[in-house]
Amino acid sequence: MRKPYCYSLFLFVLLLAGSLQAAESLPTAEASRLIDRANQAARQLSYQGVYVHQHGDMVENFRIMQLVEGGAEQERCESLDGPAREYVRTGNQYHMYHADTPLSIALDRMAVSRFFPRLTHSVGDVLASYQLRRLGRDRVAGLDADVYQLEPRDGLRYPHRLWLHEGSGLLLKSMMLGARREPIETYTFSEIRLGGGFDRKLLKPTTPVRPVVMESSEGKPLLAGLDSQWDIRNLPPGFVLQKQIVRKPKGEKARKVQHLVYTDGLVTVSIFLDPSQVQLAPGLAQQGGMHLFVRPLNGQTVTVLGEVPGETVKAFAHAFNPRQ
Amino acid sequence: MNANNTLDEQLSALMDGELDDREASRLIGELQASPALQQAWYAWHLQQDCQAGHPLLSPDFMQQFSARLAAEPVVVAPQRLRRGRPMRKLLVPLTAAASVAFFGVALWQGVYRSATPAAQPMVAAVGQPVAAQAVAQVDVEAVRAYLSAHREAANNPLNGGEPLQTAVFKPAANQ
Repeated sequence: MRKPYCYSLFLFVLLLAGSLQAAESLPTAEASRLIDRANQAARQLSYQGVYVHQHGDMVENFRIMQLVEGGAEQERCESLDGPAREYVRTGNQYHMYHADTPLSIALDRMAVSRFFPRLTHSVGDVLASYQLRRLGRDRVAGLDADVYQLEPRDGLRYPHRLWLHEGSGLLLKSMMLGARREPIETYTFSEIRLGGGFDRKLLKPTTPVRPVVMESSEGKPLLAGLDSQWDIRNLPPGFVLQKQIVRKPKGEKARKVQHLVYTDGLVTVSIFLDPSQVQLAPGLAQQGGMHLFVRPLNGQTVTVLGEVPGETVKAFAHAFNPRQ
Repeated sequence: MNANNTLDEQLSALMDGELDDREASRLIGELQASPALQQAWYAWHLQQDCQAGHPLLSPDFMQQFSARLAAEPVVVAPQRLRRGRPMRKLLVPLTAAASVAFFGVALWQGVYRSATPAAQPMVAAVGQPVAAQAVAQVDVEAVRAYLSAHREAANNPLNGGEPLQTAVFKPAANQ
């Protein structure tokens, strides 16, 4: 009696696999339109809700609300667990509060354009490295959603699954999948109400927020004569320089660590060029979807870290060689 | 001879699940104690697999598998718990420990370590002694600085896990 059950299960799995396989990637024009629509929705819709951020085995909840009236954008987002963290945004101006750090924080324009439920700053960059395919339909926070997957065009990055609201195109849920298709990081609305019909008081900060400096290194040349010190070639394709920071460790004035941040539109990779040897074991290390590669070079060290496969951090580490 | 035959029959019955609990546990006890009986157990299975057309595994499969399994690095993120599993109660304290570890950015595991990383293969080829692949424990404090610098520069600063801080990049102790 068990056998017909087994066969039907097998057939079902086969059909499921077949239907997933049959989902073909969308033409670039349509993919671009869909991602554009998701970005527009994230900027132009009024909504309030609660979203969950799950990363490894860490789960955090955030309350977010946005009001767009007569072209003016107001947004507030606060953490609901752990230390109080909050930002309020008016147009492009951010104010922020962090209970657990006394630092004044600078935000990067490109990073800001990836804060959930926003997806990416530039559609073209993303579609150069990923192709979009439709997986089906699902429900998120009580709303109907179309499910898509950004499938990497090479082995240098992970797939991303997107749940877009059927009516508005708003990103309701996003999930980064690992090498074995296991979820690495998920953002999802657990509750959302579309429209501006909420109390305006909710947009007022509840903590002593302070203005944030906005930065962008997009399209700028490398600072501090980095080109003359380092021979940079064969960078993994699809990644562009997002930010460059010179970090001076406390008490070591002579030591300047160059921190470069590269992005492919969805994920980021940090490269640290250190003029000294560091306390890390050389080679590859990992935690969940994050990989670390340490490459010592005659007293100098290249350290690469990012939410990308091991192969990618390794390729980045080998793209930087000191000039003699 | 006769005794052996009886044992063989009993093994066959055990394989088919025809023994009662008491008989079965007695026979399993004997199996564990006797290498000859284990050999017979293996032979019975081999015969049955041949008859059923199952693909055959090499005789020392289990030994190799156990060695490779022992050499596998520990996975930091636990699997999602399924509802109604008796293991769940047991697993909860483990995952709780894992969350604490995550906040401390603990358990960065080196996939391999070598002074010349480029010369090392990513994955040990089949048949190679897997134990030769050293698993390095990475200095937690040292990684934290890089992780927090990366988070600060690249991600949503509201995301927790690692408080933002001025990165302190420690030089090697022998410098």
